[in-house]
Parts: sequence; C-alpha cells; structure tokens
Amino acid sequence: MSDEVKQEDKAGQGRGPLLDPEIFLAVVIVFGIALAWIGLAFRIPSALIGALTLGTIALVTGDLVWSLDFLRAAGEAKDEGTKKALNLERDRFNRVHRPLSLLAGSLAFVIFTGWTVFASFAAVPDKALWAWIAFAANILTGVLLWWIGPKLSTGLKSSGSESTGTLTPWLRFSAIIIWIAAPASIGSVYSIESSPVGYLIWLYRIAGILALAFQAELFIRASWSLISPKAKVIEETPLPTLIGSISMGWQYGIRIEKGENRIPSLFSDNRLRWLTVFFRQSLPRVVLGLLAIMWLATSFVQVGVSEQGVRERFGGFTGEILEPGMHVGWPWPIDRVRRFPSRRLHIMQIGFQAQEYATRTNLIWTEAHGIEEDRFVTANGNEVISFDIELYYRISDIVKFAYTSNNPEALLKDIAYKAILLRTNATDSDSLLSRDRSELASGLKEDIQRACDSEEIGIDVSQVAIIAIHPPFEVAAYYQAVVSMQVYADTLAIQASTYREEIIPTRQAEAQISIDEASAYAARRVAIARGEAQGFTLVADAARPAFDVYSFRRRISALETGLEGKRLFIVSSRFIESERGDDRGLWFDLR
Amino acid sequence: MQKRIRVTIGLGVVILLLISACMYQLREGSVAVITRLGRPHRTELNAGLHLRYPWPIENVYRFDNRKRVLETSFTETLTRERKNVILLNYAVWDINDPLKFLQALHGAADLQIAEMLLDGIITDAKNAVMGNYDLSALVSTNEEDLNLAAIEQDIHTLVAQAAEEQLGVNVYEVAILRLALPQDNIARVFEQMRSERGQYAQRFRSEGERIASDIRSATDLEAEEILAEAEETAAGIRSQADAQAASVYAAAHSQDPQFYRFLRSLEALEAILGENATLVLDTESAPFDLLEEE
Repeated sequence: MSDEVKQEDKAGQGRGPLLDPEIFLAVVIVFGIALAWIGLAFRIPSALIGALTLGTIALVTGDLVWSLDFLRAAGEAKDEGTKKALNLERDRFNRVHRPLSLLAGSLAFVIFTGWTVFASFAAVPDKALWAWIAFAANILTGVLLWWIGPKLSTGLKSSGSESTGTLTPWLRFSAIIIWIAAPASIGSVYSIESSPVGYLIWLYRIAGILALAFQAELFIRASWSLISPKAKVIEETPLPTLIGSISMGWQYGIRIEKGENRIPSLFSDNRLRWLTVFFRQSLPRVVLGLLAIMWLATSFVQVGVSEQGVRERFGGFTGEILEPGMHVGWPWPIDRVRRFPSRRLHIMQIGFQAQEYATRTNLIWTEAHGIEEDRFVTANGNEVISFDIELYYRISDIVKFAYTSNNPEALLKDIAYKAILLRTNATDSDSLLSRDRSELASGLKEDIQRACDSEEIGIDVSQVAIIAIHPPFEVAAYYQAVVSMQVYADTLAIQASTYREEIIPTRQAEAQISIDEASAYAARRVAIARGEAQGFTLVADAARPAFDVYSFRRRISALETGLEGKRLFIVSSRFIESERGDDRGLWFDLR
Repeated sequence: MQKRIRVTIGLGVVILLLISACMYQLREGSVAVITRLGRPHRTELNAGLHLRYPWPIENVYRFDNRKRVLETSFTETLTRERKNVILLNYAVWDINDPLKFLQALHGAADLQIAEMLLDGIITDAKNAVMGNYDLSALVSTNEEDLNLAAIEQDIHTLVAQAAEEQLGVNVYEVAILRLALPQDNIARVFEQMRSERGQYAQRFRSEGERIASDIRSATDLEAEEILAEAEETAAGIRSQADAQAASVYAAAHSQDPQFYRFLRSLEALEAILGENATLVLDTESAPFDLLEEE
C-alpha cells in the first residue's frame, strides 16, 4: 500500500459521502445484468423481467440514497473546504458521472439484453442465422465500446470536463460484459444435442454465476454499509479495480486505489477478501475436485422408464441389459451405457411426410397434404396411386437393434416401402381403392415383420395403419366426378319416377272423367228417349180419334211458326195450270 | 512440498496420456485396420480394449461394421421395350474385408464415400439388368408377367461381385424400393387417368339418362293407354245409350208410324226453314186457298 494511500486511509476513517455514485450504480446495474444472465442462461423469461425491474429500482434507489447521504454529509460538514468538496462532487455527479454511468450501463444492458432476447425468442425463420448475427453484433459492439472509451475521455477532457476517468473503464467494462454475453446468442439457440456449439451456453452460465456471486458480495457490502456506523476497511474489490475506477474516499467501507485506466491483476494482491481470496487459494483444488466428481459421476447412469440400456466395457458389449432405474458401473472411458427407447411406441410415416405430427392436416384427396407424398406405379405403369401409412413399432430386441444395423429404422422404412411396392405393382388402382383395408393392412404388417425378422434388426411391428389410399391429388377430382355421376344417374331415375307418379294418376283421373261423362250422356239420352216416346204415345192416343182435325191444326201451327218473317211467293194454282204447256217454265228473281 | 506434489501430478498426467496413447477401444459392431508407419499391419474384428503403438507409429482406422442400408438415388433407365422407368433401390451391406475397404477409399475411413461408390455400382447393374426386361416385369396386372424377384436377384449378383472385388464389402440384398415414372410420362399418365375416369363418369351419366328416358316413355305409353281405354269404354257407353234410345223410339213410333211421320215432318219443316228462306207456295194448300175466289 502506498504512503499516499495510507495517509488517505487514516484521514478517511470517518465517513465522507457514503456512496460513490458510479460504483453503486455499477453494482446495481451489473447485479441486474447478472440476474438477467442467469435467467436467460437457464431460459427463465420471468427472471429477465425481474432483473430489468430490479435494475431500474436499484438505479432509482441508488440515486435517492446518494442524494440523502449527500444531504446528511453536507449537513455534518464543519468546514468550508469539505462543503466545497461535497458541492464539487455533487456537481460532478450531476453533470458527468450520472449521465455517463447511466448511459454506459444502460447501453450495455440494452444491447446485451435486446440482442440476446431477439435471437432467443423472436419468431424468425432461421433462428440460428439470427443468433450468429447477434453474436457478431455483440462482438463488434464490444470492440466499438472498447475503442471509443479513450477517444471520448480525451474529447471530454479537452472540452473542460473535470473528471472523465471513469468513462473509459465503464465503457470497457460494458465491452467485457457484451463479449462474455455474445456466446449467449449462440448457446441460447443451439441445443447441446444438435450441435457442439450448444456448449457455449455453459460459458454464459458460468460467467453469469460468477458475476452474480461477485456482485452479490458487493451488493451485500453496500447494503451493510448503510447501517454499519463504521464499516471495516476493505482495500479492494475485484470489479472496480478491474475497470480501474479512480473514485476517492470511502465507499461503503471499501477503499479504492487511485489510478486511471488501471487494471490490476486479480490474483497478485494479497488484500483481496472473500470470494477472490477463496478462488485465489483454492481454485486448483476446487477445479480438480470438480473434475473428479464429474468423472466419478459418469459411473452412474439412469435408464428411463421407457428405455433399456446396453453396457459396453472398453467398447465391447458385456451382455448386460439394463432395465429402468439407476445403475452403477465403471466410470468413463471404461464403461459406457447406450440407452434406447425400447418400450416406447414409435410411429413412422410411410408414403408421406406430414409437416408436424402434432398438427395433422386434413386428408382430402383433392388437396395436397403434408410436405411430400410418394406415388406408386400400378396398372401396368398406366396409373399411379398414393399410400399414406403409419407404421407403429417397438424395439423388441435391444441387442439386435443396437448391433445388427447401424440404422435399423432406415432399413425398416425401406422394408415397408418394398412391401407396398409388392402390393401395388400387380394390380390397378380400382382394385386397391375398393379392396378390404383391414386385410391389406394386416397383410402389410405380416410382410414387414417377416422381413424385419429376416434382417434381425430387433424391431416388432405393432400395427400398420392405412391412413389413406387415394389417387394423386392432380386427378382425384376426376375420381370424385365418377361418384358424382353415379349419384346424378340415380337422381335422373328418381326424377323420372316422380314424373310417372305425377302422370299416371292424372291420366287415370281423366279416363274416369271420360267414362263418367259417357255414362251421364247415356243416362240422359235414354231418359230423353223414353220421355219422348211416352209423349208420342200419349199424343197419338189423344189425336187418333180426330186425326184430321189434329193434323190440320198442327200443319197450320207449323206454317205460322215456320213462315213468320220469311219471304213468300204465293202463286195461283190457276196460273201454274195455264203455264204448264209452255216450255219456258216459271222463273222467280230472288235477288 | 508444493513443488513435489506438482511434479508428481504432472508425471501422473503424462503417464496416463502415454498409457491412453498405447491403447484403443473398438466398439461393438466395429472393425479396425491398424497400419504401422503407413503399411497395413493387422485387422481387428473383436470389440474391446486393445494395445497398439502410439501415433505416429501405428494408426487405427475404425469402421462401423454393422449392416448398413444404402438408398440409391433415383435412376432413370430404359427397359427392353425402350420404356423409361425410374427406380430407387436399397442395398444392405457391411464390410467384409476391412483392409481392402480402407485401401479402396484411399486411406480415408469415410463411409459416405464408400456409399457413393456403391451407389455407382448399383446404378450400373440396374441399367444393365433392366435392359433385359420389359416394364411389365416390374408392374403388371398379369402376375405371370411380373419378374421382380428375378430382376433383383440379377442386380444383386452383379453388385455383390463388383462390391466384393472393388470395395471388399458384403452386399446382402439389393431390392427395388420405389418405382416411378419420368415427369413427362407422369403427366400423360394423369391425362389417361382423367380420361378413364371421365369415361366412367360419362357411362354412369348415359346409363342414368337412359333409365330415366325409359321410365318416362313407359309412363307416357301407359297414360295414353289409360286414356284410350277410357275413351273406348265411354264410346261404348254412349253407343249403348243411343241404341237403347233408338229402340225406345222405335217401339213407340212403330205403334202409329203414320202419325210419327206426320209429327216428324212437321218438326223437320220447322227446323229447316231458316231466317233467310224464301218460299214459293201455290194456293192449293191451306191457308193460302183462301186467297182464291170461290
């Protein structure tokens, strides 16, 4: 410890401004960032929201506490020099440190959080691409912040700003945060199973845990110093010295070394405490211990409820099959257990590939369903037909499954396709569409199982489910048109029958009317005849005694009735008699 | 003390590394070819832990020797009758001679390269064999024409021999997985299928129209028959009535024919004389005889 520092050490045994603003802000902001790291590292979105809220509250609290503490210190100040120093510090804080601290911390937080959240949660078509873009952006942003720090410091100094010593460290501290967080973009997108790049997530997680541990210590110290009347002198803490803060005086019991842009070695100073001391002294043992534990942990293996395992010793199969539960063996690389989901019912799609199993599409002949659909040639090569089949199977013999073929499921798929080929190449589509589906399915199941047994791949086919047999969707409408025409033909017959139902009764009614009319005519005719005959008889009987008189009377009456209004030419009989010998005759002009 | 511990640990690590460099594991289902200074030295077929000289003295090439299934690419080929057909095959194979296999791959233990080479062998055999068969041997409604098993056997024979000689692999089976038609042919097949279905549809339509027409025609005929029959009956009824009336009249008039003629003549006279009739009468008949002087 330098003399200058020691003198300041003694002088500063009382309490000056309790909180250096940028240090406290750094603590709370990075604490918030650390929580955000943890949340994102373990994919806990609510932790991110909590970290954002905590950071904001801490920012406001820190500012409030500083203000209260300043007022307290200003009230206790006895001499003008101290008061002036306090005022200067207040001015410095308001003009320079507060906005720059907020800017740097917020910038780091926003860029880190924004890019990482965007890469992890945004619904983008290619998350991996965006993750790599976020990674590159984080790296470039860190480089920019690291480079721009000294430039800004120089610029501010030349413009007369009193102190900009903390700006560069702040910006570089932000750059370090961003660089450590950059792999988070990648690690949050790739899973370890899909790519070794997924292991980057552990870098992120470890950095987050360490940052959280360090910041938790600082936060506890800061909080404790608020209530402790005389905080113990602690010379250094890792983060502020890492960023080379030049803040003076006592900050919640922590003494900060003078220095501008200085980054001392974390492990060379004996005045470190707590976590740093622990890590410095015990790190190798801790690391070795952890490695040993991890290595011994490989002796234990848990076989899941739907799994079985085969134990290999130095690569060779020991003959031991492991049932579900916890098992112990030799650690890696002596023993290794390969697990297979032997009790799980697997489903394999044959003839089509649906987009996602969980979101089935409607199987309509005239609509393309799924990503791909295979066609099978039939009817002497003149027709094609589609088969949509789901194959349900289990692993029946785990040893055969593991060691007979390198990809038994691929072989199963080929066997299934072959079985369908043999069922389709000897017939036509009409026969396939009309045959008994259950018989076809059971036949396929037998064929596939027989082939699996022959290949000894250790698979048991539980069921073959025929989802659909249909013509290609390009011609399906024409198949449906045949059915439509069948229905249309039935409709025509029904319409014709309806016509018959309408016409026949009508005609029968008309026929009956005609007969009834004739009967009525007959009755009337006969009645009239009888009436007239009776009348004639009566008149004849009455007229017979004086027939001459009756006949004369009737004759005259007839003349009266008939000649009324007629033109009459009455010629004397004597004139006719006199002209009888003349050949000219008697002519009348009737015009 | 600390330094002694560090040295001990360091030595221990080095010894462990040396030991691990002198051993290798061969996993179940794998084979290995060990070369010594580049020259093939031995082949190891048994799984487990084995000794070796460390690299670069000896080099271990491991191969997964479990049965592998290779799906070839779609290959368009011509049948004997010059018809295009696309075939997709699969082959089940494993390594029979690891050393020959390694040498065939130019020292690169890459099974994907092997599969690429095998694909070529299968394609060549496929083309050769299909030239001896018609399309009906692959797909036909007449089961006697089908000869799929023979085709596969011929392909397998050619492939197995070539694969053994060239790659040192066992090919257990070569089967036809899928049969497809070229894109242009598919379009024609679709056209034919559409035409065939159209024919069936038209047949049903025509049949339906014929049946409907028959029903309508029969209905019309029956209706006419009903009307005709009714008319015949009605005419008979009317005729009978007329006859009956005539007989009534005859019976009555025959009692006094002269009187009937007289009355009937008078009725006729009244009916005949129309509005515009002109009569020429002489004075011999009453009452015009009154016009003559006495």
